[in-house]
Amino acid sequence: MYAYSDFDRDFLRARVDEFRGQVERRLDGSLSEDEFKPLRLMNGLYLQLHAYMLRVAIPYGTLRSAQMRKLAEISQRWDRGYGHFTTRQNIQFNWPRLTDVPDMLDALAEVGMHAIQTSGNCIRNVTADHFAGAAAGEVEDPRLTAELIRQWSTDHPEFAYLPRKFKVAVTASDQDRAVIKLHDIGLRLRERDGEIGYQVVIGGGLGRTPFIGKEVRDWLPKRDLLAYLEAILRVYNLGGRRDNKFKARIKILVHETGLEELRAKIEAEFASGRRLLPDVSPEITAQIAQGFAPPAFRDDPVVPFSPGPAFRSFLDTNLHPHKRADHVSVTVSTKPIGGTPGDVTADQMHVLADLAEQFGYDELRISHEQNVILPHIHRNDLGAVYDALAQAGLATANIGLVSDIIACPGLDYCALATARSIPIAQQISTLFGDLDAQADIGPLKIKISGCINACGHHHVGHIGILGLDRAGVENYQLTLGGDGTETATLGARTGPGFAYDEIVPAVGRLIEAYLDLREDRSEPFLQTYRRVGIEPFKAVLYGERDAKAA
Amino acid sequence: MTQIVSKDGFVADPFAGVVRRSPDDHRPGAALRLGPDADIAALAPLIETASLIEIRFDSFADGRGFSLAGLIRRSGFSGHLRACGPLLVDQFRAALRAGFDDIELPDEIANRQPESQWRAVPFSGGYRERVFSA
Repeated sequence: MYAYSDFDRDFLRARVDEFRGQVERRLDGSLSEDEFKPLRLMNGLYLQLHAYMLRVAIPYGTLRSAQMRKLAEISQRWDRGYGHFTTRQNIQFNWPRLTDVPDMLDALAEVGMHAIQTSGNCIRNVTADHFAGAAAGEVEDPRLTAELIRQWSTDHPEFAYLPRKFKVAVTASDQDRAVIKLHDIGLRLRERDGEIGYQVVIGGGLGRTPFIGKEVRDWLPKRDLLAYLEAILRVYNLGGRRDNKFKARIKILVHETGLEELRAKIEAEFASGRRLLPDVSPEITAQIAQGFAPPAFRDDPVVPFSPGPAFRSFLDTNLHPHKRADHVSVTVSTKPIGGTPGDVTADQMHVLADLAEQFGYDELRISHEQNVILPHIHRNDLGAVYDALAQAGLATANIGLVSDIIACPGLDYCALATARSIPIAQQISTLFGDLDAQADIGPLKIKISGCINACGHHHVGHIGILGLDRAGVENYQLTLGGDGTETATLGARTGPGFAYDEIVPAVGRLIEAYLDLREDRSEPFLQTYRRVGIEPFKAVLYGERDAKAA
Repeated sequence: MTQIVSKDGFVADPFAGVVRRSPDDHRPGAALRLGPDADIAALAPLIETASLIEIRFDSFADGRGFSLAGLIRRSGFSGHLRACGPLLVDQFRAALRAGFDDIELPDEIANRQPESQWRAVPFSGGYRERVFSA
């Protein structure tokens, strides 16, 4: 795994010192609150409803055991003994004190971690496929690209005060597990005549005005990547709207300018810039490639075993095929029935770190679906891994099922939220508590956002739930048919929203309807929805008459 | 009043008394003052002959000037490039890396963020320079 160089370590130490100074300069009045705000945001520090919140970057979702242990230690020493994994493959601590934050950053820097550019109007932490380097069918490990972009974009002198935040995601597979079409820039590695390059998608995004990203280049040679990114960012920095923060993302620039005109500007800028931009240093390229060289996989012959029923259902649900037949990727659900999606305790973090160290080549991943992944597990170790997970309350067999819900922190934590998200997730999960029944319902992605900013990705949920505030009362709108993969689609609104105590029964009716409508168990919810359309679902939500009126 | 800050700290303005002109009023060899929405490509002939180019920042949070500096340097301009506006100590390093020679600060900022803070900024190289170093 990529290990930080002396340069990275020196940079992190300097950044922690700088932030310590910024806190002091805020306290002595050198910096006004307005001036301090973007500086603390670019160091991952938010002011939330009840306290500060520190968002720590987990670049492209990859962690070593020692880093996971450090997160556990930080949560115990300076927070409340747990952390929250997010849809951007980050971790958030919800209860730090401002004056402790520099010490927390120092502790993170000890293991090459930081909170840099996890917020603010800059290029954010780069995300990637959570099965990178483990799944079959990749052109190459997308983290090679993601790490290069991390280095290039960190502290970039030109792009720290953009019109708005800027998110980049990378995948290297035809199956898009990184949601690239809903990022400001989405990159998909592809191969052409033996050469590696990219498909480049721009202007995707969720939030209050969701857009599916549009292809700006179907082929970009690998060597041109950073020059092309600089061209996109420069055109956006100069041309993006700054008069209205709700219209400042690049998706609005794409929409208002038109793809063709914007592409012409980007290409012109790229043509002028590329001549003068040197190639990426071969040393950097080599160092990154070495950092992501595959581990020395064990070759032991696979020994067949007969699992008991609970272990069997875990194996059926939580495994993903590995590029090697004798290994698998194990997804650890952070969503026990009735739990808070994404929350993991310090003790659980230690268990995960131990398992990664003992059985998983020292690697862990965080997925944008808020789960933890052991990417490389030899099949012979599955029993030991399962037993340890079960003991720690981490063996819920629900990956991809109705209770594997994405939920934003919502009104329980977030200053922007207009409704609660977590209790809705907990109630849906409890309603379908029986894992056999969940397995019968099959693949179903429910995503919940507690406000229009859509951190819970509700637009791309098969069932999306958006919590709003209607005259001081929580109201939940439903969308159906959303999809964040290579067949990206925005969900369609069903009609009027539901009250807090009506929304979970409404979701129950949708699922009952699906079970009636599907041809058989092999037709998942999304496929049934695409076949029959929204009307039958509206009928069960609102009754026959309301459906016609709506 | 304003204060010039460069790598040497708070300094006297080497261009004191030089008349700044907007692009509409420009003449060869003069000092050129540009707004944050300047069209650098269209101004190429003026930029080539300017003795000093100033780029106005209306707010520290408006980063357009950093890209303008990049474009001006890329066009081959090797003269003096100045950022004018309420930039923060915390943006000093980026401003110099983006191609500015110095910053003209409003007194309000210079008083609140004294010279010692600007002099304390470390000027080690950044990631971007390292990624592209041959």
